[in-house]
Amino acid sequence: MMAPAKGPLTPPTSVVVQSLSDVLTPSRVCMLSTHSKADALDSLITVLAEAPEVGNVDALTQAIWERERLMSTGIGLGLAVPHVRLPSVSGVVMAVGISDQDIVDYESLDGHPVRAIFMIAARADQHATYLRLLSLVSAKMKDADLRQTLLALRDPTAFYSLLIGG
Amino acid sequence: MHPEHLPILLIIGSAILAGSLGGRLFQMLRIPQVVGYIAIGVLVGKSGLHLLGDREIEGLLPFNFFALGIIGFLIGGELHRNVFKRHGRQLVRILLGESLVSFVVVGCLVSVASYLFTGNGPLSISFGLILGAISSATAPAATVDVLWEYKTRGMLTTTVLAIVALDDALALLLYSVAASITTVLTGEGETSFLSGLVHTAYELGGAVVLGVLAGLLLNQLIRKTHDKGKTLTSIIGILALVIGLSRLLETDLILAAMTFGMTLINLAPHRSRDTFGIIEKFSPPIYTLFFVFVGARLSISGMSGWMWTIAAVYVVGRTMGKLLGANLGARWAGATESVRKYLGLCLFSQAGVAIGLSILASMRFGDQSIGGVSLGNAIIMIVTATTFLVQVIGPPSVKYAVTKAGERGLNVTEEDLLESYTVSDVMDLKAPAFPAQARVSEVFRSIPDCDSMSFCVLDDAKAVIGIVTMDELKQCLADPSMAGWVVVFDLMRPAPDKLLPGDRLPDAMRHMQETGLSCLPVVTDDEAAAYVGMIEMQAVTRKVTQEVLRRRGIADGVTA
Repeated sequence: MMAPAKGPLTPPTSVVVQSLSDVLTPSRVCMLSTHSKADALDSLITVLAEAPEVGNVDALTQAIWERERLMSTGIGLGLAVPHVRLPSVSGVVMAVGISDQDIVDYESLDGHPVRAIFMIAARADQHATYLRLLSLVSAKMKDADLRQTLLALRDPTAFYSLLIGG
Repeated sequence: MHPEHLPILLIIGSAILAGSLGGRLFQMLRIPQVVGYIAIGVLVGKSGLHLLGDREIEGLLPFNFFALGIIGFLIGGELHRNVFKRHGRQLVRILLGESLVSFVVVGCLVSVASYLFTGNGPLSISFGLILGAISSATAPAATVDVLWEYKTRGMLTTTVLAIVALDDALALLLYSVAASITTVLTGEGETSFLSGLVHTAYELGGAVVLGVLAGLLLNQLIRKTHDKGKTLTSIIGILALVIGLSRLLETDLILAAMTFGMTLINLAPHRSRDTFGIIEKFSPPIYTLFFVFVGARLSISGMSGWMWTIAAVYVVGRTMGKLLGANLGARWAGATESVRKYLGLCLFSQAGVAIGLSILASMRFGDQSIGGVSLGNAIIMIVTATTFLVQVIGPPSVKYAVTKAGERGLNVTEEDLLESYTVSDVMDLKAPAFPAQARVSEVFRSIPDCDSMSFCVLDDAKAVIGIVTMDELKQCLADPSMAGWVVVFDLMRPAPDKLLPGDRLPDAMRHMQETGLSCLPVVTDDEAAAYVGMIEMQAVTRKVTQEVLRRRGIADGVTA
């Protein structure tokens, strides 16, 4: 039954994400104008796919939707963090979408509509880096003042500056 | 290579290979492998195909001495002073019981039977005395080989090891006394009773001195080295010296080698454990060769009807004597029930010392005639024939005894246990598995209720798709709120391999070591490949160590 190992369970060398600027560029922050989860995610996938780390858009799309099928990534407080690990992604990257409309069909944990989506993709073996990034986003957005200010912004550049600096 | 070396090496190679095949065949028939070695020897030797003749057997005599030396050395290694401190008096009483009762029973029965055939009183008593003395010796090699094969440990094992090692000395003493009385009875020989005793004292005392000196020397040599190669060289060198000197000085070889091992284990109990381990690993081919030649040497052609009768009387008398004597001795010593009931069954083997004494007797009483045959030749043939028989029944009896005493398999190492286990023996059936969409918070809640440090992730069809270990889970501790929205699918690593319950554990462990995996899922051996449990390297190591300690605990509980 023992087939040749496809990959060891020992932790691979991980890239340490100190700041969100390590994985997010201003060009990957975009404004969304939709009520629909599907439209929002598809738009954000297109933005994220422009990152050189993403090798296969179809695989990314499939993985994002597969993950949503398991459980919604709407984590409450108007935030969603769709996240995937894929062999076709060469390094951890992030894109952010801010919607000027409530995305009501996101099925968030707290039942509230989503206004900001932080989409994260990482290489299949970047467990630690990926989880630290999720933690970093979560911790930062727990700051109620920062969150309220960010969700009120309609300028991607200002959003990026405040998110990175805040 | 010198041309004349080739045949000897061919003989050694063939004997080891054929013996080992015979051993395996007998092992498959659930008979101790030593019987297989001897059977191969009989087949190719003087009683069989004559492929091995006197010349070859005599030429390889040094290997026999070397094998006996190794056996003696390893038995000595089992005799730490604590054994004597705890059981010394007990061992002496048992030793006296089993040796003296055999001597008396065989001596009386053979004397009577012989008198019925010859009508010659003094000669019959002499015959009885000599065979009685020879019957008291027990061969350590075949007995010990069975104990090692079945990894025994406990009071019966300890007693057997001590008794088979020590009763040769008593047999020599009894022979010396018997030979002196025989000289007086038959009016033959020049040796007086006193000089016979002095010679025996020299044989035994010289062996002890030789062994102690060798032990002291080896202890000095291995004191400052951790190099196993150098240690092995030192041991083999000194052991060969002990054997050679013992032959040269005509002291008792097994006793010298045993004292050598005993001195070492008592001088450096912890450090010398490795030393004995090295020799144990090195010894199997030497044993195989030794027993093949034991079988090859056995020759029973030319035995007349009355000699077969005496041989039968000898075997019956010796068996009764050993059983009765061991039981009486054990009762006198207040030994445990397992020793009282089963020790006698472990003392049937006879070989080197018995044959050696019969040769000595043949030289001493060669001029005497009994039933138309030289007394010396009669002794040799009867001892050879009975050796053949008891070497065949001895090892299975030992196996039966240690099995009934519950001591089989108690002296295992971690390595032995691993070899005997399959994955199903150690897998964690309680290790929970989670559906891919289970939140990490659910996993956290289940951790206090299970021993597992890793968990399987299942898809909708309940097939194993990945593994989550503590390494991944602890990443979620930085922000506890994450556990509420991160699912196990986000954390899992794909399960690269899966094990079946029937897979051999050593293969599974080797695979995990080679691939750096710390755990593997176990699935059913069918198309569904449904999740059964988990194997974790750390947990397996812990379980195996606990089992070894448990078995040793049982054995030592018996010993205490």
